[in-house]
Amino acid sequence: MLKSKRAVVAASGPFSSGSQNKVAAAGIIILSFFIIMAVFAPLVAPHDPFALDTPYLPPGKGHPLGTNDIGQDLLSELVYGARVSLFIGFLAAFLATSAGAAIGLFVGYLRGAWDELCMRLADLFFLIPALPLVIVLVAYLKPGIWNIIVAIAILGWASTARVVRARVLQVREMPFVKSAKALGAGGLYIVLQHLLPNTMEVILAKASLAIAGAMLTEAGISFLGLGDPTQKSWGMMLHYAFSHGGVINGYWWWYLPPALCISLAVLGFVLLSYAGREEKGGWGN
Amino acid sequence: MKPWKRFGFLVAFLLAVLLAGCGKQQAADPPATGEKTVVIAPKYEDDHLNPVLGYGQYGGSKFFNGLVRFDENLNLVPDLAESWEISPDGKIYTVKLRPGVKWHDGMEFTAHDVKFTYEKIRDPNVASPLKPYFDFVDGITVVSDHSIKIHLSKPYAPFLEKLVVGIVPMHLLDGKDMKTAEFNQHPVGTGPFKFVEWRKGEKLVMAANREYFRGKPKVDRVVVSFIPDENTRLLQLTKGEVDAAFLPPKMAAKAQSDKIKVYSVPTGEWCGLGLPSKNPLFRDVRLRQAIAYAIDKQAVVDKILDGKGEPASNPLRSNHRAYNPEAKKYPYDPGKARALLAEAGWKDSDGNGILDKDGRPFRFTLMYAADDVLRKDICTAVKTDLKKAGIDVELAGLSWDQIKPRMDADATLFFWATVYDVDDPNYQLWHSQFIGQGWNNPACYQNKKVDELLEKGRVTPEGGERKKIYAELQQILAEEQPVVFIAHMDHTYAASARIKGIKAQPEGHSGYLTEGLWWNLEEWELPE
Amino acid sequence: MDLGRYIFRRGSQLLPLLFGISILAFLLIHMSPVDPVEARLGKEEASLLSPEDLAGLRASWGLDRPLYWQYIIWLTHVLQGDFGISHLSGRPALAVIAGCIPATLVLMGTGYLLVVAISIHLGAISAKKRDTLLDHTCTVLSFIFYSTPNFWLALIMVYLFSIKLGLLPVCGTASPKALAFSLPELLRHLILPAAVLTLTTSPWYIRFLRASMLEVLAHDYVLLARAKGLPEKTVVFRHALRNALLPFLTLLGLAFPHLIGGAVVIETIFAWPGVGRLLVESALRADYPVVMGLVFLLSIFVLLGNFLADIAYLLVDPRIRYGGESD
Repeated sequence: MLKSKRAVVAASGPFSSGSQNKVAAAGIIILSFFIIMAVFAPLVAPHDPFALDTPYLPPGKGHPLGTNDIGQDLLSELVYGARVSLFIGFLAAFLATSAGAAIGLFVGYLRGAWDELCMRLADLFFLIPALPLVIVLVAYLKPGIWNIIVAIAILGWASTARVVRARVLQVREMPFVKSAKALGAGGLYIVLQHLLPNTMEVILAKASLAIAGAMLTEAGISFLGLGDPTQKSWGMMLHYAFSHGGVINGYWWWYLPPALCISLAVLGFVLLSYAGREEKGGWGN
Repeated sequence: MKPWKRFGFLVAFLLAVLLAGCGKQQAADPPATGEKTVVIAPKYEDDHLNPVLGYGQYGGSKFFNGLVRFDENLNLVPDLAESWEISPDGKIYTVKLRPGVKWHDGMEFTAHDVKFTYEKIRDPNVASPLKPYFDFVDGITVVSDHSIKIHLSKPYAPFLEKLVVGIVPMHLLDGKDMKTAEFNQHPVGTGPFKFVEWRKGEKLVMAANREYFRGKPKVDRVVVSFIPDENTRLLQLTKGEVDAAFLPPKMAAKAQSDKIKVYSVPTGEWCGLGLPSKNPLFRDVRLRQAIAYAIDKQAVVDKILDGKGEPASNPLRSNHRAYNPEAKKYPYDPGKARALLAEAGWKDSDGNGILDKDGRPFRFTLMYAADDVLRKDICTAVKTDLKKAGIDVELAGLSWDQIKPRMDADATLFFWATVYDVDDPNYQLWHSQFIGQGWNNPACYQNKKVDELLEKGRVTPEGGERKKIYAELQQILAEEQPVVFIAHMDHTYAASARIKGIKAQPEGHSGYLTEGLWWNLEEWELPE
Repeated sequence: MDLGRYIFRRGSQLLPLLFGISILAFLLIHMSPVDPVEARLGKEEASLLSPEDLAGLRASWGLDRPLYWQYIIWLTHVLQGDFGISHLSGRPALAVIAGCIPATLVLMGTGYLLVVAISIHLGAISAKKRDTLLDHTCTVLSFIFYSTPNFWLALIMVYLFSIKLGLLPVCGTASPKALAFSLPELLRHLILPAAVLTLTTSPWYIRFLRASMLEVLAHDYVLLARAKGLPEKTVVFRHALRNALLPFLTLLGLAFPHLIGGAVVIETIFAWPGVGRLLVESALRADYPVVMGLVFLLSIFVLLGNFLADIAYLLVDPRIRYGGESD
């Protein structure tokens, strides 16, 4: 397979390089908003998101965003939803990216049979249509956020592994790595001391994208009714808004906020990844 | 060609397609032949169309007829049978068949088809889900082309209603493997509708059988449209592409207008908390009764079921022919619940809001099938109500496969239904011989008297005595609350107001094409 | 190594790869806690049947055999060309799958063509007009559509175009009342699902192509062409685009699985009788033969697509070595 060429895509943004920082800033602002919301959920949320009140209240006093079909406060759901959604996104992406990065680093450094095997495997996982497989996996492991996280991670490591490996192949030929080797540095030392720092940028950009991807996947799974019903993620909120007539009734205060939150948070991660784009242009797999 | 221009062409092409599409909107309307077509959107699509393999409730369907059928009030009336006679010992059923009935392919229907069908159901290789209902059949004798005798090994009162199963044509299926026959996708029956076409995942088309022995259906064609997403189903209904649809109560309510009528179909379905007696916590009857008092069942019906249902205290609903109005009821009464719990020794000694006894807090896990939003909502309400009574409930949304091995230990939210004969499924639900057998008797309920009543009910012929037996059964179950019954539910359908002749029939919990709103499709009318 | 040998080498890798996928899928599917017998008969019905009857049904599906033996049986069914008998419908799995292929081909084919056409054009144009209003609009729109969950976009579009404006049908491939097939009718029904599929899939490729283009535009031969005074259009579309297409070609092989992912959700919302829905439904109900058949056929399709993309890649850019290692 033609490896090197695939990864070589140049760096150049749509915004002039000066606005690069603005993009990053925008991403950071969006994300800090959500992260603060998630961390301080009990302080921000006006109610317990599980407490029942009158159903289908429109926005008003006491319930700034109204209530859902069984009378739970929507704003509180939204605030607590940030916790669950971001948690799923972060953890799934962390698992996928760190596994992918570790594999990419080591096989990129070691080469040989392991490299061949892992990259074939990566090709395989790269080619598998992700969503249907996550669905199948979740269905077999059964609903629950841990299973969703595991399923997303299992199917998400490949693209990171490929990109990191490609970068390692470039870095390992650089003089400082060669001289370290000549000085008799061990493999692990070189990987951790030289290769990891020099691929960190790629890994972080990839991780940021992976979070975005994981959040979208979770939303899709929830929409199909395979989410974790005991957890209030944004995806589950949307699921209930759809399945309990929120959309049909035109209760925009129910279905609009979670959708906007998902989109904004995903956008935030995409912008961040884009600003740090080492893997040029390709934000996605 | 320059790429810009190419792009222009692409855009132009897309616009053209769009315009062509929009312009053709009128062409989609019914054809000029004046055929009357009804489009219905049920809950789900079947895997096959063979009653022997379990298509439709008890294997009934619109393509086939059974020997008997249910009328609007679920009384058994003749269908392919003209009359029947049950021997005094309840072991021999002699059925006279209606003469002159023709299969859709023109062949004559005879008693041999009946025998063939029942024997196929009993054939272990066919693995028919209806087999247990025919287990007591000892032999089937064709007396003449239009008369048949069925011998049972022991009296089994519910047997007559099992004869609603659709009869399949022997001349098309003899010698074929029932499980894989092409017939399962292209059925030929005696029913009011003939099979036309089945596009999997999309639609099933049936046409009126003009030679139908009970008279030609009033519409010419029925299209069964399969729309998995409920929102989409509702949109199709409001757009007029679909004439009648199965919808959850809250969506159906939304569909209501001067053009669309909502039909509430009472079901025999109940939901309740299975409190397995193998868990020592649930052994005290006072505690189970306290839970029954502590749940605001009316609020569950009003808020969660959108008013479509009624509170339940025993497995039969008030519209069932064997219902016993005397059986104990448990209206919402937190005071009584507290008193009962105190009597049983549960007090809040540490003042944390949770009752305790011997230093152990009153806490249990309630499992429910996670894929069902309704169940989650009911469990959430139960948790909230019980919290007020000082009981801490931990919810666990699981899959059935995860629930199954834990059913003996933890509480579970169950949905079961008694629509037709009381024996089904109450015999399996409460008889102690079934403890530990899969989904049977999930509460591990053990009561000699109940076992006795269930056995007696099985063999006693339909009538006053049988009703008394089941009245007593209800009294015991209501008193004991092996399952804390919460509510009986309704199903909701919405249909175009143009359709006349809809009569809803009470249904079970599956929404088969022979039940609920669809049961009398052949009588629906579409006036000009 | 010459081209022929390279093709042979890559081609011969496909078979073991397929084999690997099928074993993986087989193990995965058989890990399912879903009992196929219960899925087929219904939970309550299955609990009424005697254990012997249930065992008989399992045996008739070959589920009583050891796993490796079941796999061999499955392989013989593949060779016989029926892929086994679907547990749920009793039909050959291949026939069940084949019934869903036309609808999927129409939707995914349209989506695929649109994604390719739109990405190539918008990618090239926004690279060429870098930092203009057009480029920025394109960028912002790409970000927005990338960040929008597809089911959400689908429902909003249905609400807008079907309910509010009444222009387009809500779902399906034809009006349920239509008696005969009509192409305009199909196209009308295709517009919304294809649009959602395209809008949510394209942004990634537009960005990718734009970035590749920018890289190429900075190359020496482009500078040379410019220096020679060739018109800008010729430079971009003749010289730069062709080279920027190289990585894009490989990606085209990948667009297919990407689209299948979106199709599952979109087919569910639009009641489109396609393969994505079939896959999820049969997986949830443990219809092993159908799931295996689908995974196998999709893998063939995806692997072939990837293989052809690689070959095309070589044909377009003869500078690349044919070796497996090219660092």
